[in-house]
Amino acid sequence: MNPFSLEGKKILITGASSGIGRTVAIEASLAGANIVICGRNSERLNKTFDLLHRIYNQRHERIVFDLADELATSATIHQLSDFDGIVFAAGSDLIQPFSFTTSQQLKSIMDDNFTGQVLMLQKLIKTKKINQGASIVFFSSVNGTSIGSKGHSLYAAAKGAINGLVRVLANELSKKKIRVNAIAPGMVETGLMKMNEEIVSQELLEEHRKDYPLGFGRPEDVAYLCIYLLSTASVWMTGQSITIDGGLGINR
Amino acid sequence: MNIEKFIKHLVEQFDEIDPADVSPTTKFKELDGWDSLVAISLIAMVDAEYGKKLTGDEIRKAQSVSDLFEIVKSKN
Repeated sequence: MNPFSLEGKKILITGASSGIGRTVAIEASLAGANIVICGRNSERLNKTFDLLHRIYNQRHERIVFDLADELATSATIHQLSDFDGIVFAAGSDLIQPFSFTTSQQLKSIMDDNFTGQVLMLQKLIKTKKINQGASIVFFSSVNGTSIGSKGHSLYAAAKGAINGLVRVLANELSKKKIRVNAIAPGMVETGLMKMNEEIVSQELLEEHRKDYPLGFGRPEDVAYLCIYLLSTASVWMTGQSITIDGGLGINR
Repeated sequence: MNIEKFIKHLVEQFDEIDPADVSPTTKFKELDGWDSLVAISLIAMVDAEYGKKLTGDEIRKAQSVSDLFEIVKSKN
């Protein structure tokens, strides 16, 4: 069998109602996986669901819930089982100088980008819903991994926390041959970037684009790395935060 | 909203600027220390002090302190 295929694998994807999460769901279905998507917004989640490929007679499922709501997460996990892959693509950003930080903002950014995912994974592991040899993929960012863009302190802190978590989990779960990695993308053209554009102005964003030898990324560019991490082709890769940034790093 | 108070809040977003050097006609992007971080500080200040959403493009269009004041004032 093609080692890059996801045929026969059941994969859970959070944050699938938009951005990179949506694209990962679509590309993983194209690679043959049975997809379980979750997200906060039912209308947008349904749109993702309709875009999933079904060429291998796959069975896809959708669940609407907010990862930041721990009770809702517990109830949801109850109905789930047997995952060969999990992708945590839910997230949110806040652009603001550090000095304006409030405790609510800190909590909200950590909940969306770190705490919600951690508690969901903890419950999935504790209740043995993850198969031997499964692959778990988190989304980090170049922010909090190798760079620190002004105005993104809380976001970078949450992503940095992901990087630390991945290393320890990879070690703990290696006994079951479960692999844990993070993808650290540079700027990708999604709704989050649109938000950036509104705040920092299009002009500054165009200036920032010049730091990328290959330009900004498309969600697909990042999704393909995620497919690789979910497939058996990456069976020897664990505990890593993999940068994918169109060359941003070599230009600094 | 009054412009004296707005200027006080604006000056606070810079590291070391004498409030006496800033008037409604001052071109705020020509002040010492102006950069992208001060721009997002202004957005955060307008949100925190006036509960209004200022955008990067509006800052780009405004030249003087009073331009910026009028933009913020006209927002709901």
